[in-house]
Amino acid sequence: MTLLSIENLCVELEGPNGVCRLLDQVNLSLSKGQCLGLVGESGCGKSMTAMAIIGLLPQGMRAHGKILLNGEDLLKADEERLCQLRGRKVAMVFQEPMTALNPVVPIGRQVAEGLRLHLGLTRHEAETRASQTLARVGLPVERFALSLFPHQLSGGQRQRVVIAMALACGPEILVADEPTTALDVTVQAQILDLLADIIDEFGMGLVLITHDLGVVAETTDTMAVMYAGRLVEDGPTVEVFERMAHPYTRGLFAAMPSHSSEGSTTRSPLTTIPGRVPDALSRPAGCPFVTRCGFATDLCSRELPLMKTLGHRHNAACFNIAHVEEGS
Amino acid sequence: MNSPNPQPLLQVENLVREYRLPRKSLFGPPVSFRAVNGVSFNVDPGKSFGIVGESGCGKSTLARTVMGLEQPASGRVLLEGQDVFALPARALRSLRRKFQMVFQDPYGSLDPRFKVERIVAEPLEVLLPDLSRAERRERVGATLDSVGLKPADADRYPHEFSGGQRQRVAIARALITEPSLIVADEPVSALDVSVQAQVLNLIMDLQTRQGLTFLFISHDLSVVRHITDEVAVMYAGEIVETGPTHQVFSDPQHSYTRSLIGAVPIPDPRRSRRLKRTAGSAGES
Amino acid sequence: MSDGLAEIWRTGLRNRGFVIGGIITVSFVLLAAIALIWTPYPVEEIVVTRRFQGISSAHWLGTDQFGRDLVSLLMAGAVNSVAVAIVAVGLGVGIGVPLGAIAAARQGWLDEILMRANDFAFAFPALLSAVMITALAGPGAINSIIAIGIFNIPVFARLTRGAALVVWKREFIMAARVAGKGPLRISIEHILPNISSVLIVQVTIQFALAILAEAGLSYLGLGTQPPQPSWGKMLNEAQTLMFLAPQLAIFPGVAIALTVLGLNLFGDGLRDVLDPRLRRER
Repeated sequence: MTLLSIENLCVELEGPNGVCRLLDQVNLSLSKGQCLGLVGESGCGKSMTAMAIIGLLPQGMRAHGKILLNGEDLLKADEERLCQLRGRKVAMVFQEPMTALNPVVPIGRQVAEGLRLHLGLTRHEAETRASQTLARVGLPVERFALSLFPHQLSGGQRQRVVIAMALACGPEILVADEPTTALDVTVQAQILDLLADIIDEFGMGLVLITHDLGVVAETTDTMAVMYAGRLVEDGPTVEVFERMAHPYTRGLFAAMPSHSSEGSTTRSPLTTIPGRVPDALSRPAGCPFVTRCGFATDLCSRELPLMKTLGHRHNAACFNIAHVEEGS
Repeated sequence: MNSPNPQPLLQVENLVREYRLPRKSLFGPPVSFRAVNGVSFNVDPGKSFGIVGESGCGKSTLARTVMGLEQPASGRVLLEGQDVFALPARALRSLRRKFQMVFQDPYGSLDPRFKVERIVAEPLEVLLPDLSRAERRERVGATLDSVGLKPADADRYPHEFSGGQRQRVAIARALITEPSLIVADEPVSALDVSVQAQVLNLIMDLQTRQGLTFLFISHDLSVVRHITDEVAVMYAGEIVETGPTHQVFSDPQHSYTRSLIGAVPIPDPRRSRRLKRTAGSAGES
Repeated sequence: MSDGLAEIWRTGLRNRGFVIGGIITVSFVLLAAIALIWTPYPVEEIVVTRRFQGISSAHWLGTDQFGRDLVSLLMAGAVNSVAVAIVAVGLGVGIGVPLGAIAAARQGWLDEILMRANDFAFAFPALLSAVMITALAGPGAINSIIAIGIFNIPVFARLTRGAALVVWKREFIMAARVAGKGPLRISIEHILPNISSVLIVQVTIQFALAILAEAGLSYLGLGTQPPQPSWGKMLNEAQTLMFLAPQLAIFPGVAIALTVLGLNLFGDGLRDVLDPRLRRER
């Protein structure tokens, strides 16, 4: 059942040099109990998409298109309604747990805050719920008192508190923006396990934003690759990894060092994507990837490739998919 | 495994670095914390030696101590047989020519008020104060060229460059004294995957072309695995396992190394935790 | 660097406080500069017959109880204010900034000593300690400059130390150390240029405070001595004549308020203009 569906989402910023399109025609959908991975390099629009979902786009940015949560268009909702939805129906987990937590408020109160605000619980009820939620994320009250402050916890434990805050009101969608980037690998594995368990248990939808293809492969059901504010490839994770139809997806994958766990690949040159992500003001006319693409033709620099269906819900926006797949 | 070598380029012997912590009470005894606790290893010339570990394991402290930027409580660091901490200040300054450093943050490691020419030439200011402007410019140009930048980039400011280009500038600064050892502390962890690959290729290329020796510090196991010959795994200030990289990764002996390697996400959805779990729950029901 | 300056200038023109404050400040300094070579009437000329004149075309702001031209007095008073403020703030910057930079570079016991001495100086209300110093050393322009200068030292020392400590933690400082540079050289080449904008802003604020302090001291009779004109002294003398000739108190008062306001606006504007985060976003 579709929980969240984003249709033709565009985000524009009016600057001194005209309107600049930060997100262009983004289409995504997410079902209950599923995890959608958004992948791409910095500046490709992943975090912008997350901010649009939670209705926290920076001042001066205009979004159009549709963001449907259970059929309700979030872009049409007024600020009051968005405040009701934020935290209650849509919750967010940030990259940097230290800055996402208030350093002078005990963790118990930070988790309880949303419960009192959204569910109108009394202080006592909220605290009971908070301790249950903290126990669920692996911080049982016997060892982690509600009165602890964020600085008394490790990075991984802090991220668990942030997840507990997001989880407290039983949201339907969890948006996690690089939730493990600031953490060590061993802790990252634990946090990802926790997130995966939670969405199953509560039947939530998880939007996982990451730059790490390894994390995407291990955690998500469906994935979308973004480049320069557009989707370039999306589909079920297994199929996208099997085919990798878009040259950018392939490039990202090939640029990862020693991704095969067997054999010694040591010191062989890595495949790179030449150049860098163009910023929003200087995107090329046709396909945004044309300047960095090894398969680019005249057509690519003239026309914008649209999403083409390749198989079961697997799409890619490239004119030369046949060539790309031959070239491997 | 170690071929008999006349002398390692870098020898670290029983290095201990302590930090004084604030006293627990006003008259209590001073408390100290051993960030690096008796670390020893050798790096042979022309090799790339990796140090991996998680945050707080002491790897960055180790890097700064090897560079002589922090005073160890005990132990020695020998570069080409010379004890870095036993040298008088003047001799240490000229020995600096031989070992340079590349830092993690390409935004923080370049002074925003300097042009690239001055940034890259900074190590020369102390070593060769008499260098003429023209000579200096020429050396900067040649070095920028060797890291894949244009000599004309010398006249630009750091904020005009992208993260990957800045890291090239930082590498150029380390190369300009023609050092034999470069200590690189997380040089690619702030970069995007595709740019990271470009910088890693540059590092590997410099190593084969100029016979440079690298001490490569990183939390990223796949990066270390890809570019180092030997590796040491650090945990809580100590080296728990060391050996040739392929051997450590294919047959880890220490349980910590094993859990570290096991935690690295593998970009293969067939091993997904989702599938694992779905399969698991299917089995249960 | 000229590109940078040009950009600062362009950003500055869009900032209202910077422009208004700048105009007030510049005209005030200009007035003082003109007064050095020319005033409408000689300042020390006492003509009893033309005392307490009102506003007229001959005397734009009228004359005082000795028949001196008020415009000329205000202009000459501006010279006095500017001179005192420049020297006093110069003293604060000249001693405070190096002290703060040394404290930040050295850390340890030297830092402790310098900063505790600073706290000690800070603990006394600035104007009160200036009163104390001039009372002990005797009244006079020089003593008041020194007194005001002394309370500027801890302000700049503390600010410099705080800002420098932040810069010392940056990686490019580590790179400079790897290049073999010592703390003195790093302080001069890397630290000071990177904290200069903070210091410049503080200079404008301290400048306003120094003008206010000088007026205060002169008002109490501890600063500039007659016959040298000073805004504070003019206020003091006008006090007894408040009902007879209120303009004698109003105009110096307005001059002081306007100048301080102008400098503060300018300083606030400058802070925004020099802040690279605000500048880059545009």
